[in-house]
Amino acid sequence: LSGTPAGKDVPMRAVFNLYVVVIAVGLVAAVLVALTDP
Amino acid sequence: MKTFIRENSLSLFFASIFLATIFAQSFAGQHAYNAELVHHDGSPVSWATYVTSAHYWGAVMENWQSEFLQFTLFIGATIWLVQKGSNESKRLQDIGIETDEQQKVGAHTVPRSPAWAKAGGLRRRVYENSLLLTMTTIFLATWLAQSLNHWHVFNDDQREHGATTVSWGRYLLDPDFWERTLQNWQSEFLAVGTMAVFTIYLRQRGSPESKPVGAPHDETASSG
Repeated sequence: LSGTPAGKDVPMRAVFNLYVVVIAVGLVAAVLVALTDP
Repeated sequence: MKTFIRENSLSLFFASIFLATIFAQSFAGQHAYNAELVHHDGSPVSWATYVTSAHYWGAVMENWQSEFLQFTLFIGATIWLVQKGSNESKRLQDIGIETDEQQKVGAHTVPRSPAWAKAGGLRRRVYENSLLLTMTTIFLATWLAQSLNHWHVFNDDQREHGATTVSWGRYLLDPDFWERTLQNWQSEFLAVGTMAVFTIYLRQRGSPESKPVGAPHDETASSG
């Protein structure tokens, strides 16, 4: 996304980051549960 | 705000229905799980207990891994494999990783090209494969998470029936793991193949997933 005029890519970056966070949270939660579920 | 929603409506729509359905799955899953527990003379669990259980996350990861595998294979396979007439395929003469000019790298970058595309060496190598590398990583990580959670569930079941528990390595060889894995893979592969073939002859006006309505059947990659 760099190369896009400054400030213009903020909304696109926001949805990109949203998806990265959702996937990362899901993965971390799944691994933690698998390793700690009694 | 209105502009933000309009410009990102596709990803916001899918994020919204994803959150709604994973939330709904947790309630449906809890009820199904509790019915099973009661049937085996156990006590029902709360929603909070269920959403922090291996049963729930195993089911979530089982589906995630197959979806990410689907796109991983689709991204990788479409570099080298084509389908004449399909909108999901590149043109037959473009098989392979294509020229620097087609890919706008090396001497062919444009002023607004990403910095890593303008860079040379390893940075560009990584960036030009970053989509496939990321999707592969997510596929492998979710498949690993599926195996760990279902291993947990499998051993709970073994204990309940007085059978011996198994190691994670042994579980990876068990039919339970492969049945759960392959039932998801087969449906993804059929769906991808169907999209590749159906877009030869069928159309959806206005969708970039379709060729233009009047495009000839033998025209490949009509919508780019």
